Amino acid sequence: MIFSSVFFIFVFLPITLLLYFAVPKPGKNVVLLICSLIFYAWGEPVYIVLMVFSIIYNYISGIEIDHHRTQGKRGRMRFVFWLTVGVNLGILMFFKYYGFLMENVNYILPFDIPYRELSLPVGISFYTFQTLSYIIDVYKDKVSVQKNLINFGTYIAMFPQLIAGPIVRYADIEKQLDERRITLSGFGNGIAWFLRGLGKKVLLANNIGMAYDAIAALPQGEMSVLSAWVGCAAYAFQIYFDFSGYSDMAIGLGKMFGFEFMRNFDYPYISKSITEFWRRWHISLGTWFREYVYIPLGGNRAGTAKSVRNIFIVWFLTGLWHGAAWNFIFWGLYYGVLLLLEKYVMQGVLEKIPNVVKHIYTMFFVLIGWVLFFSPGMGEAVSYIGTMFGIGANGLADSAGIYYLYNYALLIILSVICSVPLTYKKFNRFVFSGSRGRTAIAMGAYLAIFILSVAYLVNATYNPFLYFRF
Amino acid sequence: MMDRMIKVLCAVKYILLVFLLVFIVVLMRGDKISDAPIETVTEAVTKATDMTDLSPADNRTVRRLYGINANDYDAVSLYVSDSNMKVEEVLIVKLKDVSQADGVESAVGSRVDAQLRSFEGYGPEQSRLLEDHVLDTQGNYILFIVSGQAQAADRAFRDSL
Repeated sequence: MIFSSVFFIFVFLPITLLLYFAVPKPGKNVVLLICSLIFYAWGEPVYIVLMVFSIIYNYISGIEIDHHRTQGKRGRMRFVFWLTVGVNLGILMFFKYYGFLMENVNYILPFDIPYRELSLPVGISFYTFQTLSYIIDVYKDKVSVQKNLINFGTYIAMFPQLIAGPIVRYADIEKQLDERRITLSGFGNGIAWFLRGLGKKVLLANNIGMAYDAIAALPQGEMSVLSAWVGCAAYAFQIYFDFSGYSDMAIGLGKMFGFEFMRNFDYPYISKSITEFWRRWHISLGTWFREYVYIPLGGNRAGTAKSVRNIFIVWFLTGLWHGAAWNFIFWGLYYGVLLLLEKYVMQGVLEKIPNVVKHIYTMFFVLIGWVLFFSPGMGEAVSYIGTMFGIGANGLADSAGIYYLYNYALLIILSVICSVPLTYKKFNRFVFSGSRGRTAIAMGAYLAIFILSVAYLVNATYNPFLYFRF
Repeated sequence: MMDRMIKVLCAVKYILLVFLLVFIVVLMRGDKISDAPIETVTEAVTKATDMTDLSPADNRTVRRLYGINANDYDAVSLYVSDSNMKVEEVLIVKLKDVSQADGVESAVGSRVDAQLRSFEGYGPEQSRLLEDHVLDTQGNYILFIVSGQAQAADRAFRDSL
């Protein structure tokens, strides 16, 4: 089940909210857990087994680790911790990377080892990282052990952030699992977040995604330089509005149930450096890797050589996390190299150049990065990048490129407007500094987003979620 | 007391681990991945069905009719009818990853619904063929066929994998 579906909006969500608010406080997490498991089982009837396993296994491990610590059995505690980390990562590796591994083994060997690849359980990368954050923090005694299975299950399976993030760290939500305030204004704020996310996804991402799909479907050699750049820009907007839209919907749903999740995107396309871009893009993933990989490895405190090594490890893993393919690994390492260059080589240069140049520089490398990301393989990525610079291109601009640019010009302009904070700031100032009439206009705007989005959902068949495959 | 509870919980954990291994083994038996090239599979399917009025279609037609991008998959083979009044169609998709199956199945579902709406009321023969369509997912291969010989084509499809 996806948020941007008629069934979710008109059936699942209202029923869940009704049940949630109908039951007294002690039953709220029970409702949330049961509804979340139904939500997951709707799309993954088989892999719900894996989810339930993960909840119970990690719940017991947390209790065991805490028990061994209080008993002073450090060795036993370490064993349980590493076994639990191994089991969690083992499941993730097996379901996500087994096929990739076997494909590469078969490529190297002179003979083929037959293998059967399993389908990827939706959201496994997200909920595995959440369970790991809990186990690591319990082991490090940073959080108290969760002894209530319902609360723990709610943390792992909570449907708003279950299948595409944000990756909520247990430490950030620990108190809210027991005690949270649900207010009318908080609920209303949640609806606004949800509608903004829905609009981003359905009205912007889905429509601009059609431009990218049309251009990507052009046969080799029939793509002009202009088409290649328009296609790449369309993808950049599609993935931003798709993923940040989903995150906004998740944050909004969380607010409706009284939870506060961390912001996952902060207008990444206004960044003036790659470092800033990664502070604004998929913030919860960056925070997770910093907290649980980069800092434990020594961060930047152990000398330049180790700092460089740590950055490469983090970015190799960031790439691999996104998918079991070489282009994702190269995409991660590409950012590792760029971040190192900014940190050790270009810092002085970047400070001196005008903001507009810094912005162009950032977006140039981000767009090239998206080519690595969306290409089916490295060969295709190199070929596409070549086309962007005229190698193997069908001229500088052809009728197809002009057609796509002309047809999608309005949507591209709208996408640019919606990618900068100024639009939302102006909207907020307009709503909150004025009279009741202005609030009514704002509500009208949200209602318009809702009606338009539903109209699109009813008619359109094209409604993929890019981040589901991670 | 607490020690005993921990021992029980520990036992539950190991039982769960054994259960997980059994679960994986069962899954591995069911999800077949075929190395067969799409050309071989397509040849087997097209030999088993009447292809007189069907012609191969390009990736743009795949996107127009199904709303999916052929480049996202390992390979896509589509044959559509030369006439708008005919509904015979063959779509074979070799997935890159079996998790893509849901997306293709839902795209096929939308295509069938759209075609059924088009022929509703005045095309009983076309509607019957559409209702008798075969949508078969076998590991990393998906076959969608609307044809009088859909069942035979499906058998050929399975044998070719």
